[in-house]
Amino acid sequence: MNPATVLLLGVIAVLILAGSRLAFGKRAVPAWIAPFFATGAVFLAIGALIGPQGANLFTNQILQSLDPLIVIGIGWIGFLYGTHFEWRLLRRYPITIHAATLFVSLFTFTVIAGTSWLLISGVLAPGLPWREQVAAAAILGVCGAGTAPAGVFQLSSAWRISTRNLNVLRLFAALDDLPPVLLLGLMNALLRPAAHGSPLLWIVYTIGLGAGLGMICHWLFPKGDDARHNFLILLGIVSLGAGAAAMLRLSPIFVSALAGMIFANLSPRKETAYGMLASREHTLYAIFLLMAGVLFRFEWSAVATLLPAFIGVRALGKLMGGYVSWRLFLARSHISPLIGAGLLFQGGMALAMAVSYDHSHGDSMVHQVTTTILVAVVINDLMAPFIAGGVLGARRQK
Amino acid sequence: MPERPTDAGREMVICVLNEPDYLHDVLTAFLEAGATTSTVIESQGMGRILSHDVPIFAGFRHLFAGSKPFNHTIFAVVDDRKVVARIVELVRDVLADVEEESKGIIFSLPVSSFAKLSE
Amino acid sequence: MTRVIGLLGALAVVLAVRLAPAGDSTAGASAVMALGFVLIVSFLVGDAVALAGLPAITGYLLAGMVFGPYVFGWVDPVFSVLSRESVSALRLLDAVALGLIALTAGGELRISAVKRHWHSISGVLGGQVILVFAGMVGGVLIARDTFPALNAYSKETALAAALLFATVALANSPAVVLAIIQECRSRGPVTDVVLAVTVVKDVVVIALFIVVLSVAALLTGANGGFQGGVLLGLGWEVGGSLGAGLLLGWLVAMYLKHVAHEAPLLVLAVAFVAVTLLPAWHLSGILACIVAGFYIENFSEHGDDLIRAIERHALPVYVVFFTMAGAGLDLEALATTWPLALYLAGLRLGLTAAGTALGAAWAGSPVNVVKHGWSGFVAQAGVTLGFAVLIQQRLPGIGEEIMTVILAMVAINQLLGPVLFRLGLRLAREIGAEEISPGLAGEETQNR
Repeated sequence: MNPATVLLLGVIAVLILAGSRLAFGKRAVPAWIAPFFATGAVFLAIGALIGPQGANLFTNQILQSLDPLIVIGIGWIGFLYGTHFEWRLLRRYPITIHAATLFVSLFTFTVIAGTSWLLISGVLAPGLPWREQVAAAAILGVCGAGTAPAGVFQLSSAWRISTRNLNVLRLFAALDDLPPVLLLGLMNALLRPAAHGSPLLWIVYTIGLGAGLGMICHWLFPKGDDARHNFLILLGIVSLGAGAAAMLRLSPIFVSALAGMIFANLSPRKETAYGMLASREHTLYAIFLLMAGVLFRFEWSAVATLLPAFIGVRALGKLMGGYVSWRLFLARSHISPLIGAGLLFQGGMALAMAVSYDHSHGDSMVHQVTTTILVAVVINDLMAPFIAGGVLGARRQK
Repeated sequence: MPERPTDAGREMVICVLNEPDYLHDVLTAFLEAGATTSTVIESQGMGRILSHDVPIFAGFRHLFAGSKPFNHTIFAVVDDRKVVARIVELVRDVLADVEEESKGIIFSLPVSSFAKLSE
Repeated sequence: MTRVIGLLGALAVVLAVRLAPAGDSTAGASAVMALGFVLIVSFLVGDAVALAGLPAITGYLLAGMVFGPYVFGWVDPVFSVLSRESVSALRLLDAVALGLIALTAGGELRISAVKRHWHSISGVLGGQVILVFAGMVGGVLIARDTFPALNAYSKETALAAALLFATVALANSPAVVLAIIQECRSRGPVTDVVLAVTVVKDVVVIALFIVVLSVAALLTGANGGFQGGVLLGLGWEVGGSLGAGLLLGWLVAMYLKHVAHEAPLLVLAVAFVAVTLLPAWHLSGILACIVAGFYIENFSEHGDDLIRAIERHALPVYVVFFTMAGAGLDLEALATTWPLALYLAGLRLGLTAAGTALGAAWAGSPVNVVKHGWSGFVAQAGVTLGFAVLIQQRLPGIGEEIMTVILAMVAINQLLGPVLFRLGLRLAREIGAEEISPGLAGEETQNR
């Protein structure tokens, strides 16, 4: 590695370290740009600016040496994500809320994936093998279905929204990435070259790997309070799982998330593990986004076609899905029928899943798809607070 | 009821402990230093409520953060300032291995009056 | 029991992946999987050998040997979890590990302790340099007739080899010394003296090696012999590294003072950058890190912050470092050259013990330093292996053989050293600062 690049990496590392507190802390960032910071999209932008299509500061060798870091980062995020879902906590909420969340998420997925598939197979890439067409459409749906909790959790600081609506929005945002993560796991198992054998086998592999790692983590997580040992075992499990999944071309996010879920429901030490994973959340996310920005190849053609469709259809899907699920499950409560307007924030898991897809797929649609998602995240985060605040009947507070 | 105004030398020690795992050891330290009785309440710091981290991935557990006690506040009334100094010293020893940045605080106030409710 | 199941589970995952018909994958994936496996398995093995009273790093080394290319890999390449490719991919972490170890070594070196034990430190250092160096040269020359490997050399070549063996024998591993001190939480004169001597000797040995390598080249007639520029280069390397270290230390101290946020990551980045970057200017990143750590500990208010930042996250790096060292131990070299390697290792052990004891006694050191101090100087690793590679490069012809013997000797010392040091610390009663804390817990407290 040449000295100048190493020095540069060092300087960038320090900038991230100093910057991540500024970005994710509650500093006085102007309200209109706060979600841009809170969702971390700002690091994505910096990464893109210093990447090959921007200032091009990195050699190919450095880009390749980022590869393991990305795999670990994806695994860490997946595991952390999974540890949230503890049955004991989940069942505290009525089944109607879960049904509503599930419905909006799956509805949005279907609408986005369907529209994207029509666009891709009809207009953009009719000649592409069907597996790749479906994969591209599905990943767009997967990344569009969820809501970034960061934006929703910050909404109340700038807008006045009724507590009921806000609580439901938070719950939606906390849960609605779960169906996409499951779909992602399924997708990686099903959409494989025929030479790999029966898709059923790969579903078994995916679930076996995730569940097995969750159990291993449960067995091995230290009983003592030595933070160093806990950190070591977590890092070991995350690396083993994500590395194994990536080698098998399964979804590292799904495998790690399943492992995290199993662990959280089995182990009495889940709070310790969760605290340790979550305390690194912001720094890790900043570094991860920066690398994602660096690796990402901007594809102009996507901006004119897929991007507007994605943003428009997603908003429509959330609004319609929200309304239908309100009619079906929530009509008796004092929740706004337009609750879907509060769910337009994007980031977090959507970005992680997009990076994971970008990292593991080599087909020709990849760059268009990731461009669409990454740019959409930025646009959605800038626009979401105004739509949420405006529609759900709130004024800007002082 | 025996009442002693401006009770000479009595101090109230208040310790806010951010390490729930060490509560037992800290109480032992109080006892060892001569504070034979103490009161513990579960509490939550202002910082945790105000600047609660914005969740990036999921945030489902964040929804429960409000119901979970994050720290303990220990009150004890002791006979003189020497005991306070000893408590501080012993509690510091107990927490010496903790690697957190803010383990908690400990301070004392003079007690202006003190009475037992039982005869 | 659950641990055994967990370990078998981890192994099962790796083997299942190896056997699955998944086709190609990205380069990073297999390195990441190996990393995860190493962390889990070495940690468990380290814990297990700790039950037997052995230091954890011996466990990491053993795990590396078992899953490395020689044992499991010899049965079937599929079983070689740490294949040569994964080993080389994880070697990237070595730079981080060496930098962290050097920073910690400097940071653990307190001026007060150095002042207090100044006589012991200089006595032990002097005793070792004189006795080990002279003794090894003599010992190799005497044994010339016994070992066929040495017999073939001419007089000059044999002298060159003896000088090189003697210099290499003087080195000991700061990494092992630190790892054991931290693992045992030891405090006391033996701990202080061994650490200080190891750090200072690191610098002395590097300087000596540069000179001796040139002399050896002169003796064997390779590469134009002795060059005056060597001394100048040596001055630049030592002086420049000191300067770079001070600058680095000042920068990190400023960061710890003004930003303080995410200190562990910063320290990792600094260690990596220093060790990777400085050699480009012929400076020693390790020396610079030692100086930086020393500066932060003794001349800023943030010594504790630094050590804490490192301790919190260094364990995985150390585990990988020592496991890779185990996987990299050249068992083939040991198998072919074991008689000579064993002789040299034994000779070195005796001379080190004698040099340490005599030097310490002469300096009037505490009795524990005289009796048990030597145990800390047995282990050898990183720097020594680096020497071996340099010898091979600079002295074509004989360098290859010398390197093999050194690798074999390092393998012996690396396995023996940690065990001996831990034993020495125990006999000197310096282990376990944490056991002194009052044990009143368990009594019921009156809470209302």
